[in-house]
Amino acid sequence: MNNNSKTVKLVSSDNEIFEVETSIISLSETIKNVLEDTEDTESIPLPNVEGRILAKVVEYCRYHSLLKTIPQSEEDIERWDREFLNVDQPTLFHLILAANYLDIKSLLDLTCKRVADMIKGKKPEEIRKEFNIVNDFTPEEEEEVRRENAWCEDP
Amino acid sequence: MQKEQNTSYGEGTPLRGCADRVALEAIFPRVCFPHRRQSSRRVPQRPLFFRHFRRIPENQVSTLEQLQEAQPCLNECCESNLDEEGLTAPERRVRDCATSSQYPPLTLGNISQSGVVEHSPIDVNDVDCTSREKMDLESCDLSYQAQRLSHPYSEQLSLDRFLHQRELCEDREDESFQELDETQFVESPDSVSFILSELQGIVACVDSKPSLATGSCSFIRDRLRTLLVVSSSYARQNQSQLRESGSVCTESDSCVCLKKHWDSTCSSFLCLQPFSFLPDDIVRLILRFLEADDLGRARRVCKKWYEFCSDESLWKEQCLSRWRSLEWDESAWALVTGDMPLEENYSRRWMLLFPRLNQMPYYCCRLQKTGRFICNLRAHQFGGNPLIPYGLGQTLIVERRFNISHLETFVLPDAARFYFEPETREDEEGYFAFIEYLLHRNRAGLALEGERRIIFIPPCDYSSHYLQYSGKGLVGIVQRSYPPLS
Repeated sequence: MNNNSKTVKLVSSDNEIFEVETSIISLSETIKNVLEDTEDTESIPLPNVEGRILAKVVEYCRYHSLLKTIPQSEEDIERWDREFLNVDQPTLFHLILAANYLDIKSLLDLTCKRVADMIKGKKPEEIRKEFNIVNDFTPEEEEEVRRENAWCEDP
Repeated sequence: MQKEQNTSYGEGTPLRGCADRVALEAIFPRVCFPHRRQSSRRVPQRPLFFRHFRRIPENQVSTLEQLQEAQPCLNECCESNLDEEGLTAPERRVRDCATSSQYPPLTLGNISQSGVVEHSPIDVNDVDCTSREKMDLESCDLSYQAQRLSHPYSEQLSLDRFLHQRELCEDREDESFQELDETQFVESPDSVSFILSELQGIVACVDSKPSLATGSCSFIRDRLRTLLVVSSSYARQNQSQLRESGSVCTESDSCVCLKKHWDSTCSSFLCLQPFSFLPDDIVRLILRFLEADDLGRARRVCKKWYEFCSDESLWKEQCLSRWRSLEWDESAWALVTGDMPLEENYSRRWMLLFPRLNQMPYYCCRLQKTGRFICNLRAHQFGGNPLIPYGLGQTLIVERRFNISHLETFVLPDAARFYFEPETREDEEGYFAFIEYLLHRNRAGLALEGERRIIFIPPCDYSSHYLQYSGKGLVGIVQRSYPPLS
């Protein structure tokens, strides 16, 4: 990395400070806009993002901005992304919220796709268990919906 | 920054029970196993090792500095207080490892419960039980520990690790937690402390071998890659265990569940019902990545999902991914819906259309006109006998043409009826040019495939009358018989 490149300090909700090159973190539209609007910004508070989540986000941006100068095969990128999402469920959901807040489209898609993969191939009951969703249908309503979707059988 | 927090570092994984608590307690009564209540109530008085991964309040600094002089490995726990040295954390670690040989070996007696340095003759190297403790660690996970043995401070580190484990257990004060996993006692390779100590090991290793210090760092890359494999495979395994062993909670025991498994990784209640914390837009985005089958099942999960999964735009996308010309060819709808009354359900038409679409077989093929590629086609069968056993060939070559007026006498009543559409946007040009070519000459195209005859019919009276299709697309017939040749 170029030592002269400009950096900005990101302050997480738990007051951890992350100093990051602006070129890297510009992957976030939110931060990019802040940097464009206000010159010589030294630090940006991110009250919605915890330190341990911000650390992950910064690494994501670092890798994906590295790809501009050091191209990698699709396979390698996919592997990196897969490993990146090798996290527990709460972290994954925190990452989604952070990606949404920081407006990093590719990260939001990646994390949402991961959650979708967790839904795929599961019965409704299994989905409820996986994400601890309360079934608020009455038995009659549930039967009605099941009939509507009779064409898609349970796996 | 330096407020005392109850969350500790390096706890990214569920906590392990202690296999040999009683035996160890007998030997390390004060250091390893202070009285539970005491340890949790009077946090500042807890033995320093127990705060190994905690932030230390400022008023502790002086004591800590004294201790650092006696014992380098304590430096790590004081990191946040040592900024005035002007060293970053990694620099400090490098320095610690490089200089650690100057320090005397760790003695358990050095540190009392009150955190004051004392002198005591008990040396960790002399105590028999350390071998037992190490055995526990080693038998649980030889591969990690084998790497450990080459480390100059392997014993000290295993002890740290052990004490760290102990601390995690102490924090819980939850008997059921210990029942969870009595058999295992391994520090998680998916923890910050594990990776940091491994990295320190690498630095120490290079420091002790001058021949390694120059030239390519390829061997470090190798080591790091291996390290990552270990760490990430553990994280994966761990997640699946979580899922099986009860990450799932009913409303009533959800708090217990949280405490057991997600205490460390979860700072909010987000993990209890993660979806209730996501903005609706994001839930919609997630559902957009589902295939139709999963979307249909997801409707049955709860009322909110029912609403989201009934979104017409999702079903439109699903329909178009199968049959893209439904977007612009209104006439094709009748081929799918048949007698289904769509008018009264116009607002849900895509969702109602999908199950019908789902039952219709389709085939992808290349359309050629004697040697010349025309376009890629998707052929949807909307009537007649099914094509058994092998569907439609990959390449259909239109070799002949015949007058449309002959169709009526030639087509068999049970012939398979098809709708052909351009596979992608790029195929549209060739597709419409081909229709134009047939229309211009008032001809139907004929392709031969073994004994099969595939007839391509441009928009005409025949297609609207007999095939009930009056749009601008290409329809066709597949049957086993010979048409009259013009």
